[in-house]
Amino acid sequence: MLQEIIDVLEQYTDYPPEEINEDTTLIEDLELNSFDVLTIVSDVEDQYGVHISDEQIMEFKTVGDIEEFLEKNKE
Amino acid sequence: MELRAAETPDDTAFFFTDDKGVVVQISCRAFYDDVRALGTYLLSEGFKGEHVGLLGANSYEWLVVFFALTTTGNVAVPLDARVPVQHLTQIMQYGDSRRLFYSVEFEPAMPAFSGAIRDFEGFPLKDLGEAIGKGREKLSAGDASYRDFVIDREAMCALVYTSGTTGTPKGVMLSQKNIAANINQACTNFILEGNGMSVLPFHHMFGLVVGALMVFNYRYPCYIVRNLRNIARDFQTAKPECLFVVPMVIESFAKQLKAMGRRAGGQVTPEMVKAFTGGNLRFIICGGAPLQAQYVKLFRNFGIEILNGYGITECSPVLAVNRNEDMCDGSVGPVLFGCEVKIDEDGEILARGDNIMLGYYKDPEATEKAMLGGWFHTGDLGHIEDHYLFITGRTKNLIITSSGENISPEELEDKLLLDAAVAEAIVYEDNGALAVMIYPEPEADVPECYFDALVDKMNQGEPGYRAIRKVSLRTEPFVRNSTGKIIRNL
Repeated sequence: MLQEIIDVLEQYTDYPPEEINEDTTLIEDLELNSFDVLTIVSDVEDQYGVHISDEQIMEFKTVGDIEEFLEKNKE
Repeated sequence: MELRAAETPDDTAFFFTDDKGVVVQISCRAFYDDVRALGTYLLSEGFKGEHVGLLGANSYEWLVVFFALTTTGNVAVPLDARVPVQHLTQIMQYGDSRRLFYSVEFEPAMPAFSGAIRDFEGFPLKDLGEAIGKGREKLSAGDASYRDFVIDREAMCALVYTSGTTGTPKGVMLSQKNIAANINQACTNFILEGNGMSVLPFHHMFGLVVGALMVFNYRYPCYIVRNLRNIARDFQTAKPECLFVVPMVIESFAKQLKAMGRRAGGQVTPEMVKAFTGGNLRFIICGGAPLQAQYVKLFRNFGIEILNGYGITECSPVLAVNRNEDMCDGSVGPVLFGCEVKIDEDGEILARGDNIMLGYYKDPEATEKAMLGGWFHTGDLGHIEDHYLFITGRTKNLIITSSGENISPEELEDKLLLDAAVAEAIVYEDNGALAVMIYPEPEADVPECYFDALVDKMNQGEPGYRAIRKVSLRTEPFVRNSTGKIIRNL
């Protein structure tokens, strides 16, 4: 699953994909802004058939946070 | 509103995609009827000179409430939905608001409001239809209170909170005259010839006055983006000719277009951009924060002109904007017609005109300071060259994020200084995110990670854009100037 998330993320960042891991932070490391994160979440929702609330999005700090949420909630 | 209902009753005023994915079109006549009915209901329910909170994501209902309040002698108090509830209750208390219209996601927060505010009354926006229905019944029975109400155009109709340079946010008092003047001034500067798409939150004057009211005044349909995460879909529905955004949105679009190019195995083409943006996009009006010049050039290659503008809540909000046929890269365009701007001897931009606020709510001292000599002091530095206004910096320490949020660093620093282990702290912007440098109290025996935990805890009570993302420590106190103030340029 991590690789699938990285595949989505790498479209929005110039950060080297091979260096993205669970601990990579969305804002500091990948330099994403809050609008980027919303767009990415929209992609991820379609891909995994999940709904992610705005409150939950605020909780995502690292790539691992997204992975953990999807592991628990994917269809 | 009344004029459009009479002259172009069947034209679309607003449209949006509802929760079921259905596109809803609201005609000028239907909009006026809804506002009139709700206004009648509010008057019958004793809404008289009330300061009424308005809390929720962008929606048609939000606009109906705003218009109904401001045309019945009440004051709309737009609230930022991302601000923690505790802060919102404080703002409402300070603003003497005890009534609140709110969207459904705030239902769980209502006990906190009623616990903090005396005689609190909440009105869910989802039940707005019922209130409008009751208003319609009254209209049918001959209730003419709304029609007969005489609007005082000089009186406060909106109380808008903005981050000040010190502790508490300031309440900017705007009148109908202020807002109407700005709409008319801005409409002379930029000419819209197609659909507008309202992306920014309505609690920001840029999002409301420029993104929605100005488009309505142009007599073109305004598409309401209800949730930013659906913006790709919304482009296809709205097919906008013009967007109104802050730099953060443009930066994000640029990334998405780059990604699109990568997926296609090459560069992004104008055709791809056209397909992504609905086919009609010609202009993007950008304000709220400075935009890097590279984005103007990038979008120009795709046939889309980014027109930078400049405004501030206190000016309702626009002061200058580049125009379709009169633009200058690097500037924020010509000053609006009917609005005077001059640069004082210190380089500060001063403004005067019908769009300038009435003052700060319950803060005559701050009002007097801001309006010194009859000119509004923007706090921004700039110069005028060949009738174009250029912004060069700020006189205040406010941090402006690319999403257009104003953050007072002192406000966050004061919170950190409450901790005994923090001797000095300076909050600053680092690569688009907030960072703090702390000089620990020499006597405090705490590990470095103590400060990370302290900042994490503080962040939990803040909206995302006010969260501090980076913490660093220093071993020496900060350098201070002759008056004892820390020199902030680290």
